[in-house]
Amino acid sequence: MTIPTPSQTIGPFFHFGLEWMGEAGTQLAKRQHSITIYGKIFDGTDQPIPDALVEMIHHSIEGVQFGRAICDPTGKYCFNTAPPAQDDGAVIQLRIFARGLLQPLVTRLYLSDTMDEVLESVDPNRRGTLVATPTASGFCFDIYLQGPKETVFFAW
Amino acid sequence: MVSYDSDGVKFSIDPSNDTDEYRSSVLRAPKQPLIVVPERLLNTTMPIFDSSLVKESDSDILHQHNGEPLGERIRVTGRLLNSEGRGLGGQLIELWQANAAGRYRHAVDDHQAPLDPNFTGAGRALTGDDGTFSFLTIKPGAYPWKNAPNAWRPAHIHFSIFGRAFTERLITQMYFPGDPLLAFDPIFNSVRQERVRNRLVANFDWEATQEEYALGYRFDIVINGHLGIPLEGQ
Ligand SMILES: [Fe+2]
Repeated sequence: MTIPTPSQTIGPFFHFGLEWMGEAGTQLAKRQHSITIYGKIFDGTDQPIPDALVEMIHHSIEGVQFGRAICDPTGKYCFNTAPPAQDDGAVIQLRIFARGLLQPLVTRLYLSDTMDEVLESVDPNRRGTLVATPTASGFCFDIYLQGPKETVFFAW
Repeated sequence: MVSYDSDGVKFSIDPSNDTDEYRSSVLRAPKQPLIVVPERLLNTTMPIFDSSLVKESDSDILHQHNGEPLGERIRVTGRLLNSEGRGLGGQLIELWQANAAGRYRHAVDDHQAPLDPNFTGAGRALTGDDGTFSFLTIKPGAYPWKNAPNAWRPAHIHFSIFGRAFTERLITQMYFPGDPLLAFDPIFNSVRQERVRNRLVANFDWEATQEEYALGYRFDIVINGHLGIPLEGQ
């Protein structure tokens, strides 16, 4: 087997290289109905991170939905996407890239706490970190990289 | 992500986020262990990009402005491969880098080096049928950073490989052979095994070198392309 290329950090200066896809992403995703998911990413001192890139992917009845969001200066990310397919457990997968992360973090945003095989493998006390909160403007999903509210991250 | 070397010994390919000598990781690396689940439970096929979204000219970073950028022209060419060594065609590769003086066209970059009006430093390409890609650019300069007193990043180009599946997604950095700063760089050296780390260093390549125009570097990129098929021994 050929040795795979290892990950390296995205660093702080990626915006001008990766932001073009905002437009392309819109063209990839033609959809009838949409939901909004949003949140902030916090470091170990509960400060929002202003320089992260978040990518999302999930199934919907209109096909695979992919999105790329660059956090704004307040650390907020936001996606408008089609509702996830119910038979997929209403889950959206997220990958977080940021300065300080040598490999990206993978997590799962659940729109409800309906159990699935992945959630079952998580300590019941930490499952809540994966469930988004419905709000007037969509679903809020804050991500904590460290601390008592640390979000569950996955590997394979 | 795990992999195996040729002797069947298990080792991790990606560097651990728990790497204190990289100061930015201290408040950002999760403290809890990652929850390991079967790859099939996380995998989703990624959307496909075509030539309507990525133009041939997007890989020529030298000619995005009215004039030519300053610096040493280089051609970076290579193949995108899966772990069986097969070329992966039609795949999106994006890159970004500093200019020849070591300055990024980015609001947050406060390095006291000049911007180049003829250089943005971003490009993208779709791989050819055999996985080949080729970028024309200039060699980026080294730049200082605040990780430690008098710390300098070795010259590097940031690469993003979109991948066919969610678990293949990769962002990495390409370095230049013989750079004396490599030995001191905590990001490069966060990859502990030398053989894996060397994947990140391009080779000087006469064949990619264009007479009286640009030096050639070869950088093959290998993504863990097993698409949920269990690795041997798992
Ligand atoms: Fe950089």
